[in-house]
Amino acid sequence: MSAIDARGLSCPQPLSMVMSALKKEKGPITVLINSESAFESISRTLKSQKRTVAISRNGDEITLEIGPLS
Amino acid sequence: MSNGFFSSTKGVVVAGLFIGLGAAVLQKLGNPGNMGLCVACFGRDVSGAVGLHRAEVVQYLRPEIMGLVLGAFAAAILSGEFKPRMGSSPLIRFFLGAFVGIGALIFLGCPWRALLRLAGGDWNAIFGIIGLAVGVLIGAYFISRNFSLGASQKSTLLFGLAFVLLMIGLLYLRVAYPPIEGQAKNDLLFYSVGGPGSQRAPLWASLIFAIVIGYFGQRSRFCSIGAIQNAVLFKQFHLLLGVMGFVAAAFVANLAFGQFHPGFEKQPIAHQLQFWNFFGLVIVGFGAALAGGCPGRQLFLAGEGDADAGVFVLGLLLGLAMAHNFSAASSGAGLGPHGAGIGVISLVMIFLIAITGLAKKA
Repeated sequence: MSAIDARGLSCPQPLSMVMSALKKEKGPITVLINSESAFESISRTLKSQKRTVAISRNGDEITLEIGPLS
Repeated sequence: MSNGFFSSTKGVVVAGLFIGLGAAVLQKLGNPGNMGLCVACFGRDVSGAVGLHRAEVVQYLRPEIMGLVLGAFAAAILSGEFKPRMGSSPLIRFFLGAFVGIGALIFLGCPWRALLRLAGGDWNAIFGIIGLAVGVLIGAYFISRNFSLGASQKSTLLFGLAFVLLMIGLLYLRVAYPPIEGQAKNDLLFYSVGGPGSQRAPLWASLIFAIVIGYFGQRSRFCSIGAIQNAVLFKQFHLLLGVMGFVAAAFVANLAFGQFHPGFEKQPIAHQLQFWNFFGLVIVGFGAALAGGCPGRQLFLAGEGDADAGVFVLGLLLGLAMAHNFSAASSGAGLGPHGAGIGVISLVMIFLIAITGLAKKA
């Protein structure tokens, strides 16, 4: 289980952090972001991964719950 | 609030195609050769128009700069993405903007113009584009080692609007104080009588194209730096396809307009010192990668309320002006007398910023 807080970070740091976590972490990953462009680039990456993703929004903040490696 | 079409690869390609086409049309309508759209060159003209430098041939309050920001602002408002934010190392971003401006004037163009020069047959641009890629890769190395300028914070509406209001103010000046035929200055603004600064598309065309490009740019996240970075670091080719669309559209439109002149020699506003073409865009690629986007992308971000991107742009305007004041800017004749020295200092400074910004392992 790991958590990433990428709120307010410039491109491509949110994506870069998620990518390195996906390599290292087999368990679930929680990602917190507040940028639509980061959300889009991370979503595109996750499409090619064999992991489940649950997305929830709270105002400007977006939480991605990435499931464990199956 | 899904971004739908523009977040798709088809969307960013359409955006790229339109930006490339728009640039070629603006050249056809009067903008300088292979410079239908260039954030560095036009920023330099803007800083000249308000007197930050006195290079007489490159002074014009280019409406494209304002239009790109205002178009992105409109897109952000309509999509609910206008988010005032600031506080991610603004002074450092100011310096990065300035160094990027210096590098761009050593090469003679921002990354967009490098691609437009290629699409117009200026093969000297190839060395610049290789340099751009090298610069972006150096930046990517630091980012993969957790380089960061820190997180921005939410801000208030008016602070987020500050840069947009500045653009509206500049646009007002352009409309209220238009160029007077044959005069180098009106009450307020400098206007080139000869040279690239005197080659202008009509105000309405510059503004309309730039606003639509700004709209597409904000929606699609079009970015030349991100294109290289995402392809190399993450094997994501989404943005790169957008950039390829940009080049393809400009190339086809240039052929149609008779604006394609292949070769190394006699290219408009370009020199053949290939090492310096390469070196100039290494500075640009490296600096812009650390700042999170190419100069055009910074304008789009500033339009959506990112005050730090606005600070980068102000630094860019100052760097461009200082490049002329200190004779670091190149010209068709070659390198400026202080181009090499100031260029090397700029690159060293960006390295210092990169090393200093590496996150400490907890």
